[in-house]
Amino acid sequence: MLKYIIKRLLWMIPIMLGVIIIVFSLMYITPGDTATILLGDSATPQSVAALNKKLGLDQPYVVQLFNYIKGIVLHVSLGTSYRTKQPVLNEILARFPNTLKLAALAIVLATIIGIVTGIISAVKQYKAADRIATGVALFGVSMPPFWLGLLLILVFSVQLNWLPSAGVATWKNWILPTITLGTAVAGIIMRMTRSSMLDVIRQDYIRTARAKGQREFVVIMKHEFRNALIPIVTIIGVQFGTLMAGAVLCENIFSISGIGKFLVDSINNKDYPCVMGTVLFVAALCTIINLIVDILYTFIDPRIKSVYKIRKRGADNG
Amino acid sequence: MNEKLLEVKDLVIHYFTDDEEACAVNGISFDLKEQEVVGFVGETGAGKTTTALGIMGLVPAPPGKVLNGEIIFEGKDIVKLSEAELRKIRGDKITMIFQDPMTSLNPVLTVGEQIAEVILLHNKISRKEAIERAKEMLEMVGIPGERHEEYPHQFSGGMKQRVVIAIALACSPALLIADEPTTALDVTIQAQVLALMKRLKTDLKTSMIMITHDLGVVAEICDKVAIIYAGEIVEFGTLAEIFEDHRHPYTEGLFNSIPDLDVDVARLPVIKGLMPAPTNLPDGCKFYPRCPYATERCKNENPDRVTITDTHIVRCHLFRSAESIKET
Amino acid sequence: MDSSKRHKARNNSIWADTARRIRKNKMAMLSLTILIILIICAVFAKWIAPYQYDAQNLKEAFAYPNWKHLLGTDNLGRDIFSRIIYGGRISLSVGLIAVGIAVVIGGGLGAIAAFYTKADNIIMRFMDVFMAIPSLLMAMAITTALGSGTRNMMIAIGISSMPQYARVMRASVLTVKEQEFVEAAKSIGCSNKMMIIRHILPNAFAPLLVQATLGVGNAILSASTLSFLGLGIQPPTPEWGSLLSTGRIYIRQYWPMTFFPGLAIMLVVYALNILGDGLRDALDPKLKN
Repeated sequence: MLKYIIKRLLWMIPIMLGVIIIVFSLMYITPGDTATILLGDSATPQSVAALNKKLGLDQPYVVQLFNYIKGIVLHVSLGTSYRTKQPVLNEILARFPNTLKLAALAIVLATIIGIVTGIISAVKQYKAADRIATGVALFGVSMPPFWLGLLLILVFSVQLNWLPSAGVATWKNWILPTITLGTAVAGIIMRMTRSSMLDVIRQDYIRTARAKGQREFVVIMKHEFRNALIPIVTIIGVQFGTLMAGAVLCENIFSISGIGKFLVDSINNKDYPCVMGTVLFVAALCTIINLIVDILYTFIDPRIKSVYKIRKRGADNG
Repeated sequence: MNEKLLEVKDLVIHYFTDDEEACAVNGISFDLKEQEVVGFVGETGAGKTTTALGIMGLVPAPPGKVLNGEIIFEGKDIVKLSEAELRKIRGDKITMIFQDPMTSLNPVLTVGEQIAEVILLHNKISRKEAIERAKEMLEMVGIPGERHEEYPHQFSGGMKQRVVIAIALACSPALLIADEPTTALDVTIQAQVLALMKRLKTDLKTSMIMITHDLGVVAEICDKVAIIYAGEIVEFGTLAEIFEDHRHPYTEGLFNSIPDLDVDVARLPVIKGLMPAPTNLPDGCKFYPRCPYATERCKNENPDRVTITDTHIVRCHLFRSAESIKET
Repeated sequence: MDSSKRHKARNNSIWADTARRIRKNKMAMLSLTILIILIICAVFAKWIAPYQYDAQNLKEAFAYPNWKHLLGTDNLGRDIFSRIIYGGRISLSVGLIAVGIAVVIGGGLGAIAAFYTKADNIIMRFMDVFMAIPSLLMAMAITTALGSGTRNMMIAIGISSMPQYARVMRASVLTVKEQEFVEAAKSIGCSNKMMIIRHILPNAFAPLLVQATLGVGNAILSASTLSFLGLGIQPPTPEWGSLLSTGRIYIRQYWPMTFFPGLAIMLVVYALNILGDGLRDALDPKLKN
């Protein structure tokens, strides 16, 4: 098991290296001369050249890339923000707690709603409850999150004046962003739960459980749901990327100072080290989440655990 | 000494889909006495499993529906029982072994848990005691008790079927329904599992319904045999009556298609044609389109049960009470 | 000759079966009708829209829906209904072309990976790298690099959603390759090229089609998201996301500018999702329930 985790962690290195190269290259080909942007109207050819030299922007692509990677590996540094002159990583970490809180609230809400409605829907297949739930879930998936956010503001902030529409001052501020972000993910989880429950319901071991005289509720929770959980956990892991993308939107709509708002602000300010750093940070986060999900599997599905055991046994013998 | 344990009367079960009605079981009646083993023999789709599910009260509804009939078990009609009353019987007094052991066990629970589950459901004992009992059950079916913490995928097919049998016998049921318990297994494993069931039958004195299409299995374990065709019992009798003195043309066809080692034939006689689809059964006798002795009457009129002896019943126009036209 | 004819008949019957099954699915047919109407509106916007999308009339700014302006007017007095119809042109074409790019590049790479074991590892590891970046963030990074505008947005969304098509195509080709009729074709002496074109690709294409149908909806969502964030199509071009983005400023005073463009996006994406689900069920009835 430990061997597997280490192997997966090592595998992250080439992936992240690839991500760095892609993102760096995109920023490299971005039009516009950075020094001119930074200096603004006061730019003279001399000062531009001097600044380019100071930032290392006069060097060839490969050297710049190498320096960037060296900075990450040796100094755990994602560069310096053009705008605030602060280390990019500090800027990100300062804003990350808000993003994390939003993402965590949304995923908890989405998982609870998605799984409960998914189970009900599968058990009541083709009944009214199922048709309503699948219809609503598809709305959740199809609804542009920014539109939902704006509608919620319209109703609960503008019309009813119940909830604030911006900032993070009180717990009330988190309600609308959480609903906005959670809705789409809840729809996805619900659809996955339903289809994977329907898969399991048809299995012979469910009939075995009923033949034991087990109560229907226990059959559903103990026998069906535990087996259906495997694909559901996958989808929650895979959807983490969607969640982060949604967080970018939510933070912008509800003026929450998180890394999503930071990313959009940085793009608008042409603060490329920050753009690069944020994208890398999110990509690393997604990769780690997926690793955690893969490890979680082994606790849900005993078949996977024993595959490692057999491999280990084989390795020990060989 | 032998009391009637189960009495099925004129059971009719149909499946309803969007545009079709599948007549799976069409008026099956039989009795089962204590400690008796009845074999259900017939082709795939003849309604054997549906009858068994009916006795378990487990016909999937929808699409299935019990349209008619009584299933009297220990004086109570299973068809009329509530779900809660049925649950008390299922797994405790009537249990079932399903066809495919590879898929009959829950992959995420240990085999010990799965045996203990049924014990806990029907006995007032602690979890720890239930696990102990589960270990005893494993020993009884020939699996070391310490393997109770392993998962189904760590067992072979034959071992899994032993676990399934352990689950079915954990509460010492009065009636065990075995739905083709050996079909999915290798021939050598089949023999082992069959020997195990035979031993358990004599040790535990459980009544059994053995569903199979293998007459060899029937000969080995059954006291009585029901030949089922298109949702009806076409012939019912003791083992000897069915094997030595079968009357129905379908039964005759079944026995003719078994190779006889002493007689060298170039080609085994087979029953011509296919069993009719349950969505489109013929009027009259269901076997009429394939029957070598078919008459005009068979086409129009479904034959009633004809009593040959006290124990031997056949459903065919060729016979009248104790007399057989074939013999005269 | 004869055998190839028979194979064709078999393929035809798969699609004919699918068509028959999907015609039975009322929701899918309703969605298809809605989509066709929207496409007609987009194509013939000039004749259907009651006003020019940029016709200003400041006297009538912020008019609520009325008979003259079905969905009201915006801050510059432009007819919202007309702007949504013209916007549909852009949103639908961005969705279709972005998915087209993704299907061609991703599907192509996936098929190559499935056929040539040597290329498989390289291509799929490359896709792993791609998939590590959430696709919306990837699209944002690409639009930053290429600059905003309709064409760049199509490329950005197309490329960022490419890996999923590569995966689907690869998996589906690998499945079809293992099937018996391919073995049979091989055994009667089909050439490699013939086998790929005649037997494998047509059968492997079905899952890609489902993915693409659902993908157009996602692409439209991504496009409007980018525009909403100010990274995609800029005003005054009437893309649905950018309409919403402008409307957002006035949300406290005037709701139609926010409400209707969002409704249009949702309607299209919902219809595409239902159609995609229906298509998946119709292509493989086993998967249903």
